[in-house]
Amino acid sequence: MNLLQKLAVLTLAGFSLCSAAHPGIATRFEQLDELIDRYPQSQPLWLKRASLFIQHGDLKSAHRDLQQAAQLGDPVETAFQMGLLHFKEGQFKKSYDDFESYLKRAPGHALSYLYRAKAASVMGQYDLAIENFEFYFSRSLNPHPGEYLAAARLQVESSPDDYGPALLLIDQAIGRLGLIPQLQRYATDLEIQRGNFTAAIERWDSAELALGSSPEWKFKAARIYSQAGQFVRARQLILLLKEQLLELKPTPARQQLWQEIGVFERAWAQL
Amino acid sequence: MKVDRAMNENDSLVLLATEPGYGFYLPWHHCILALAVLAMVIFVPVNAQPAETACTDLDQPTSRLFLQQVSDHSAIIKWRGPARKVCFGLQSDQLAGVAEGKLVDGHYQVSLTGLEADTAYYYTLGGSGSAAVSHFNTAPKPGQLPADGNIHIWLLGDSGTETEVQGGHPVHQGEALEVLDGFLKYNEEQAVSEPLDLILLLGDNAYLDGTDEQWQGAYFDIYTDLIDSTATWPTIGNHEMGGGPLDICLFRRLPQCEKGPLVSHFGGISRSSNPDSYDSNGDGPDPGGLPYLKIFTLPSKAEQGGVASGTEQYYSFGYGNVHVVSLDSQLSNRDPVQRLAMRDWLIDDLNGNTLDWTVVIFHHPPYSKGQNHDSDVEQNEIDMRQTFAPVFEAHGVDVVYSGHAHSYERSWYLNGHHGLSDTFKPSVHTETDSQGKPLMGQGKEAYQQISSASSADDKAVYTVAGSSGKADKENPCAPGMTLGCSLPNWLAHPAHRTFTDGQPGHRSNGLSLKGSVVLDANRHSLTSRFIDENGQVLDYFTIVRDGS
Repeated sequence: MNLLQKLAVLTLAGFSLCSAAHPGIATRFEQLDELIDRYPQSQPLWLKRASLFIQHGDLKSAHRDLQQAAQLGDPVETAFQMGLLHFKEGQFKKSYDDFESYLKRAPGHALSYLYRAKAASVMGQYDLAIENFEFYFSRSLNPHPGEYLAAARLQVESSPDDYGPALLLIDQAIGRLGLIPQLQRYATDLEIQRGNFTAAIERWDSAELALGSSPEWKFKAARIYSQAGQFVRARQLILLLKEQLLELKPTPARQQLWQEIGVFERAWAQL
Repeated sequence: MKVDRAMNENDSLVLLATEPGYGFYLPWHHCILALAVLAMVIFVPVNAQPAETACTDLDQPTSRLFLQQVSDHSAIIKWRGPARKVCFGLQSDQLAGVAEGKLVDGHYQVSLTGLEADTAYYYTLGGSGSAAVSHFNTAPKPGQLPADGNIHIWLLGDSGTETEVQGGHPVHQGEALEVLDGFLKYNEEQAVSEPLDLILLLGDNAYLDGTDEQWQGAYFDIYTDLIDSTATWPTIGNHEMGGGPLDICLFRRLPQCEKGPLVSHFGGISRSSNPDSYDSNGDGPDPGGLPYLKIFTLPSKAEQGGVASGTEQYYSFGYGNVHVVSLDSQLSNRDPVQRLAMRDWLIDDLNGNTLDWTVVIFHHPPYSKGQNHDSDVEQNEIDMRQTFAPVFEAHGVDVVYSGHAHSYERSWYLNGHHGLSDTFKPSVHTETDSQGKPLMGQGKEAYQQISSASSADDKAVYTVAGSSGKADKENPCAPGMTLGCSLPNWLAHPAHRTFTDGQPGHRSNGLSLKGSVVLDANRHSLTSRFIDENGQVLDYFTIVRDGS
C-alpha cells in the first residue's frame, strides 16, 4: 500500500471505530466544508459552520467564519452567533450588543434575552440584567426555577433597600410554575430580613402543604414564630416536631435536626 | 355571525363555535363560565353516563398509546390516532364512562379523575364493549401496598437501540426485544406473571437523537403491550438531547488531525443546559424544542405526591409505599445555578418523604467504569456524585439507578465515597464482614436499611443498568485509544460488587451482558434483580426494614 492508501484505511478504520462508540454520525463539518466549497457565497452555510465551531470551542475558526458570513449578506444575521462567541470569550459588552442587534431582527428570541441577562449581570449592570431576565421569562417555553431564583437574587443585589421587586418576581414565578418551596423559602427569608414577620409567617405557612408539613418546615416555622414573639405557637410547633421525628425513619439529616432543636431550646431557655 | 355588542379593545376574545365558517365571541367572564361547563363535560366521573349511550363506535387503532401519572385517584391516557374519546369502566364489557381527548403537543390526552385506589379500570379508544380493551390498576393509597402485597417495577436503561443506525443501516435491531423477552420469561416463570406497577426509564431510550420518530420506533413500537397498562416514568439521557459536534482528534490521532480539528455530528453529546436548544441533526436548535418534554406529561407540581419541582425536567412522585425521584443529570446538572436549584428541591422533597422506600433515577452514573463512560472523568458523573450522593445518604435514599454505560454494575452498600475510584476503602465506605469483605446484600447478608453503627438510614446501593438495548463487548484499546474500546480498568470500579465466577461477560466488578432490572418493594424488604435476555437472574440484593 502506498501512503495515500494507508491514510485512507486509517481514516476508515477511525470512523468505523468511532461509530462503534457513537454510531450514526452525520458528518456535518465535512458536509458543510463541501457545501461551502461549492457555494462560497452562501451566508447561511458560513453561519452554520460558525455555530458548530462555537459549540466545539474552536473560537478562532468561528471568528473567521462569522467575519466571512458578515461580508456575504446582512451582518445582523450573524449577531446571535457572534453574541455567543463573545460571551464564551468573556467579552460581555460586545456580547450584549450583539444580542441587542439580533433582537431587533428577532424580537421574541428568548435565548438572546437570557444571554443578555447573564452578560449584564456579569458586568454589574443589575437593572439591565433584570429587565432582560423578565423578557426571557415572558418568552421562554421552559423557564427553570433556578433562573427565577438567580433573577430574584439579582433584584436584591440591585436594590438592597427594597425587596419589593424581588418578592414580586418570586410571586410571578410561583404563579407560573406552582408553589415551589425553594422560591417561597427565599421570599420568606427576605420578609424576615426586612422585619415583616407577619408576611414571613404567611408565606411560610403557605408552604406547609407543599413541603408535606416536614420536620424542617416545622423547625423553620418555629424559629419564625419565635422571632415574631409568638412563643406559644413556636413551642407548640417544636412539640409537634419532636413527636414527628420520633415517628419517622431516622436519617443523618433528621439526627442533625435533633441537635439543632436542642441548641434552639437551650437558647430559648436563656431568654 | 355578528358580535352582539361593540367589543372594547381590551376585552379578551375567545372563539367558541366550531362549525366551519361560523363563530361567535364571548367576553372573558362568559368564557370562564363556558369553559367550566366544558370541563364538566370533558372530565366525566366514572359511571356518570348510562352504558347504553356510550361507546357504540368501533374501536379505533392507535400508533401510540401509553399511560402517565397513574395515581391512587387519577390517570392520564395519551395516544395518537383517529380516536377522539376514551370509554372506560370497572368492567371490560361495561365501559360506561366517556371522556373526550384534548390535543396537547401532538398527542390526544385524557385525564381521568375521581378514581378508586388500587382498582382495575378498563378502557378503549372510542370502542364498544366488543372492542379490544386495555386496562390499568390505580395506585394504592399513599403508604399502602396493592392487594397483591408487592410493588413490581421494571427499569430499562439505554434501551432505545432499535432506531440506532450506522451508515443508514440498523446496528442493534431486535436487541431491545430480546431484553423484553427475557423480562417476560422471568416474569412468567419466576414472578407468577405479576403485573407491573411502574416502568422506570433510565435515559437513552430513543437513539440516536431522541426525535419523536425515534421514540416511536424504539419505545412505543417495542413495549406496546406493557405501556397501555402501566405508567411510564422517564428521565433525560444524553441521547434524549439530540447531538452536537465532536472533534475526533480529541480521542484518536488520525493523520488528518495534523491539519486541524476533524469534527463530526455525534448523537448524544450536546453540552447545552437548555431544552430549547435541542438539536436533532447538528444544524441548530429545532423549532419544536425537546421531544421528550412534548411526549411525556410529568408531575412538575407534585400532582402525585412529593414536592413540586416547577419543571418536568426533574420530578418526584409516590406510589404506595415507594417514593420515586427522577433527577436531570443531563441539562439541569450542567448549569451551576440550575444544579443547585435541583439539589435544594431534592432536599425539600426528601425531607417531606414518609414512605418506606426511596428510589432515585437519573442517567449519568456516579460510579462506573463503563466503556467510554468513566465516572472519574466525565463531568456530569462527577457532579452527580459530588453534589447529590451526600444528599442521598443524609436523607434516606435506598437505591439509585442510572444507565449511560452499556453494561451492568451494582455497588456495595455505600456511604461517604464521593471522590475518585482509587479513594474507595471498603472499611470506610461500606459494611463489611468480620474478614473485612464488603457485604453482598444477599441471603443472610441482606442490607439493613437502618445501620446498626449510625442508627440511621445512611447508605444506598447504586446500580448502572444501561444494557437494555445493547451490551459493550471486550475490545482492548490500542495505544493512544480511549474511546470505542475497553481500557484495562473496564468494569473494574472497586465500589461495585465483584464477580468472580469467570462466566462469559463477567468482569471483575460488572457484567457485559444485556438485561434489565426488576425491583420489588413490600413492607419489609426491597429486592433488586438483574435479569438477562434469557430470563435468568444474574445478580440481586435485598434491603430490609425494621430488622426483618
